[in-house]
Amino acid sequence: MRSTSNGRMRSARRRVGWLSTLGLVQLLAGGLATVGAMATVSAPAPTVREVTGGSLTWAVAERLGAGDHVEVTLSGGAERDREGVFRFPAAGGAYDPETGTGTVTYGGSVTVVRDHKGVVIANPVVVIDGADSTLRAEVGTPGPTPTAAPAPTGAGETPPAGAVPMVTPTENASGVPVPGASDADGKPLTELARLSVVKDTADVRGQAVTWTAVPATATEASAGALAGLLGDDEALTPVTIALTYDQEPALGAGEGLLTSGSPTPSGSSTPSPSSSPCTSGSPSASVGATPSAGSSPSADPTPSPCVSPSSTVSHSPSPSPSATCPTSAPTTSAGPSASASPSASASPSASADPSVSATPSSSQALSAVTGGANVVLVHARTMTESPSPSASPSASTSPSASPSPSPLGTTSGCPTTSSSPSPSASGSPSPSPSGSSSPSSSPTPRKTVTQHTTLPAVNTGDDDTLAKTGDGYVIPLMTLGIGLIAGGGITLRASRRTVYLRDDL
Amino acid sequence: MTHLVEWDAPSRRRTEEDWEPPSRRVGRMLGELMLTAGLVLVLFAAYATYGKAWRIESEQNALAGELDRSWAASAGRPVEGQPMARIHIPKLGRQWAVVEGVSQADLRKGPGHYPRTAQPGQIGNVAIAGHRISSVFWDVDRLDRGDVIVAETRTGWFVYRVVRQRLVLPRQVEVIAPSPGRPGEAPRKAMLTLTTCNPKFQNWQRLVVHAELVREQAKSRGRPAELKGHP
Repeated sequence: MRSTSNGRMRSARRRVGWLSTLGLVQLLAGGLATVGAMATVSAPAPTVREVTGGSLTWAVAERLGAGDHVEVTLSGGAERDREGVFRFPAAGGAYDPETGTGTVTYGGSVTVVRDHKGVVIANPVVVIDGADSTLRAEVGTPGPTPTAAPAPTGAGETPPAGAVPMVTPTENASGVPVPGASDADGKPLTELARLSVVKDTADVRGQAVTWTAVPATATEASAGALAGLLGDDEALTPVTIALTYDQEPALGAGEGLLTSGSPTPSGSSTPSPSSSPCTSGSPSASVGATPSAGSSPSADPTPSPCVSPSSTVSHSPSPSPSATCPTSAPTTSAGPSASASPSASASPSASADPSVSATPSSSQALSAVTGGANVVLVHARTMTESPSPSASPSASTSPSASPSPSPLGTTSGCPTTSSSPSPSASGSPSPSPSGSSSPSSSPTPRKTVTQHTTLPAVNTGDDDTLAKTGDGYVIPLMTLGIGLIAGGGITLRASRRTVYLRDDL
Repeated sequence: MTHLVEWDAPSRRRTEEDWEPPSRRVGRMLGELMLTAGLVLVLFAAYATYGKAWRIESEQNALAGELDRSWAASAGRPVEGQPMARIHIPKLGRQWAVVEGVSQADLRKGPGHYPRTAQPGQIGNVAIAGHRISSVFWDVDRLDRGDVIVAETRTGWFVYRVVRQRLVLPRQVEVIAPSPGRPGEAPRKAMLTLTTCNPKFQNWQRLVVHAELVREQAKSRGRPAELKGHP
């Protein structure tokens, strides 16, 4: 039983991983295209970069789940590994590699119910500012029926509407690199821990920055907020912060590297001549939609009407050689992948997507992102069938669906092909008529799937039996072996070679 | 023709001398095969016990250093497969680094801590499983009531005394419940439970040793007196 659920988990995670990488690639491509296009106009080059990926890894407390009655519910792309460490995918933010400061918003929410006391930690934000860094998050109590929703064994993808009552993703549009400005909006953020995130201690690989096991000091606010989870004098565990920032400096350093959460009607089918290396030559401009999406780390508490039935069957046979992918794997989204939500992965609010349906125009999206020598063509024609925005209210409960638990960790996730229905979802509150789809071709009605996984509090070795501490086969093997030796000896002795002459017989 | 006959005579005699019933030839072959197979099986069985024991021993050497390092670095929570504590049994003259987790891979490194159970010193039940092989819990059955088991963590020493020994079937997981033997009941005592296979070389039973915390001592106050003379 364990193995099957493991397998299911693994496959789900792999799917999520794929999608997230795909999303990352596309977001990166889109962001680069836009940024590149803008960069040609804007003169001064700010050093602030948009955060395109990464994750926040945190176990919260050392023995979280040591008790028997702990129930953990994940949503919005948050994950939990075997050791019980939570992992929130990056949803957006800004980082300045020069100064080592920034604000990174992570998506997803985690509900831990322990002895009937529950805490929801959602959409954590890390304000990186040297020794004054902080980890904040929306902390609340689970909704009225915390366990009701997806509680038992509901692994896999159950998209129950309203399953997680409390997920109010921050609309934290504060991509502002100014440290401390993070608690601008959305639900109030609780300062969970003080961190010391110094630039010098970072592990920098290309555009991926990682701080491993940053000690977290509890604050008064967190002591109060997490009182239900932490026992007496139980300390917070160290935090691992990973982020991947954009290659190009974001425009409008201070205010706008992340545009507002409302999707802007952005370049529909018109191929935007972007000068960025990534999409050069790719007619799929579309990208404009994505970066904006990146900003709103999460959608919106209400299950937003997600225009699902936009069966975009894009048919665009043009390859876009993307130079940005460091690894030369092509990114192709095929099948029912809701790949259109490239933004979704990096930034949960894939607000760009649903908007697609608004335009009944068949936009030709070019979906092939090729890296290196590989060229992959994906023929895609986007035929939007539902002209009305917000046609079908897709039951997206966790608005911040972004599944990007980027398995790559810190590396910028360029390549991969995703052919799976993405769990990413996205409710964009306002459908914007941004036409042409994202650089990916998402044919098929995109589904809004929220992943709820309820895991046992702690992975145990063996629940139903005591550990196997001996090998049952030793004695039988020994017996058989000895028996064979004896039998062989006897047989040899009995059939030993002697000299017989025929006359003797 | 004569030529042939001359040739034939000696060779015929030889075959006459060598002649034996075919069943004998088959029997000889069979006997050798059986001997070989038997030897292979016995050697494998020996490896399964002693080779494993030897490997655990070398793993333990590595783990001991790792444990000291991680304690020095004040690493956080235990990670599966990593050492989380050390237990000493002075009566057996043994000590082990206990890894977190009881999967087969974990137990290949030494005794393993059942992940869901308590930590040393806590109210509850610290359950530790170990192979019944010479380098691990081979003669745990020699422990009697009152014998000392000391758990060592980063911060302290926890002295347990054996209170009970039982033989159970593998499915009787209540022995590692927070309140041993009474699953579902809230624990009131700090217990430590060792489980291993029984009888030796077999695994259809489990030997369980329960011990109860009698006192604890901070690391700063040095080794507990119970460990005097213990390596």
